[in-house]
Amino acid sequence: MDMRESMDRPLDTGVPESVEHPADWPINDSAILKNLEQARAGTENSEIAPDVLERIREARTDRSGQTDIIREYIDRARDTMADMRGGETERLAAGERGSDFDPDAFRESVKAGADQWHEQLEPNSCAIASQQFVISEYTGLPVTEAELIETASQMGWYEGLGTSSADVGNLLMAYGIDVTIRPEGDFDDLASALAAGDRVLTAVQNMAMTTEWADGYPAFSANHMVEVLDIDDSDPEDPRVIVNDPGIPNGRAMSMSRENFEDAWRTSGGYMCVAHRPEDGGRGAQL
Amino acid sequence: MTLQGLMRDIRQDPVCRAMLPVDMTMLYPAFSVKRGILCAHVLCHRAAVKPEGLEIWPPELRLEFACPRVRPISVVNLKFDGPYTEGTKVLPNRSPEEKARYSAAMRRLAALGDGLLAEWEETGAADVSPYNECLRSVLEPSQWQLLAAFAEP
Repeated sequence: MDMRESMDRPLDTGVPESVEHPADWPINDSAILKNLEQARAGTENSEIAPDVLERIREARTDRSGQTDIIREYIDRARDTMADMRGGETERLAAGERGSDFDPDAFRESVKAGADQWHEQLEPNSCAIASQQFVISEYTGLPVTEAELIETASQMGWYEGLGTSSADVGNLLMAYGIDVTIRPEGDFDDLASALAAGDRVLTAVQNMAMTTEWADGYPAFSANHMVEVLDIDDSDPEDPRVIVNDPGIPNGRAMSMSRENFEDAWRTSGGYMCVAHRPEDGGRGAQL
Repeated sequence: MTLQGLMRDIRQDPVCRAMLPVDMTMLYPAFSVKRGILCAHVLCHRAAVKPEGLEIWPPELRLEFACPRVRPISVVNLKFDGPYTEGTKVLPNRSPEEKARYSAAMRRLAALGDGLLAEWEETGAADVSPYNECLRSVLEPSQWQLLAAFAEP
């Protein structure tokens, strides 16, 4: 691999350094997760509708069934949240974007994703942090990475060593987000998903992303997960890929060259997890 | 089969997909011959890019595959297999001259790997020592120690 420029070109999105949810936030999803855990343990809980509780019990040994139930339960919570807000709806610009580059839509799309960025809490929680970015943006639920780590640990999706690629996307599905896994995607697949307004999680090698160490270390596979927010093709001579990288302090809406990104992505064989944006544009648009 | 092709197949193997966390990387394989079968031994560990260099964790998994058709033999969690030290190490940024030497070693490793696999496919036998010696020169000594028992004659 050739030496190339660093990808740390700052992108002015006007995004604040941190995002605080209002103190009177109406829904506490910790309670939702607690309820789910109690339901799995068979504990009675008056906050869960009896029919949902019964179906969770029936599906306890069937992971796909569990996912459906969890999805239904979280959908109900989201509907409740929407009702409490007066049922407002607002579509994100992303998803309405055509094939021609639209700088306003691009900036809006990047900003909505960049709002969710933070550094990962643990050395091996990049996949969980990346999924949390999407969950927070799409659902508007103030779910934290720590809570997702706990949930993933309880469900067996984050045990000891980290998250395997086979378990990437499970947290998204648990929050009602449809996913498509492509173990060997290419850049056209990525561009298509982004043009549809979806977020994409990709497995990359962080050494290849920074270029210098890719030349100097005998590793050959991906070791990191980042969220791809958009492709900036405003300059045909220098197309850029915008990613939320939870692994480094300046990873918010980071702009890197397409060539650099593809080098890093190729180490996973092109693994991608497409998180399909809900038809209503994502409840996070109401924030 | 080339070394790159073999590494691609290892990376795509279902055992790797299920067992290898997305935040852990595989190092280049060492080779051995057991019961007349060519075996690849792969160490997996975490690595993080820091301003001062590359921070590496001790290898946590060792995967073994029969080659050249990649078939899993074993997955060993090194934390439960003998002494294990938790500490990390930072490899300092290298000078351009060091990088040039390293790149030359990696090109030689690729050529030796390609030759090894080609010879094996043609004759069903090959000397793995030259490749392993070259691999030893690009790995950290502590990493090689975990492979030496398998890779040395």
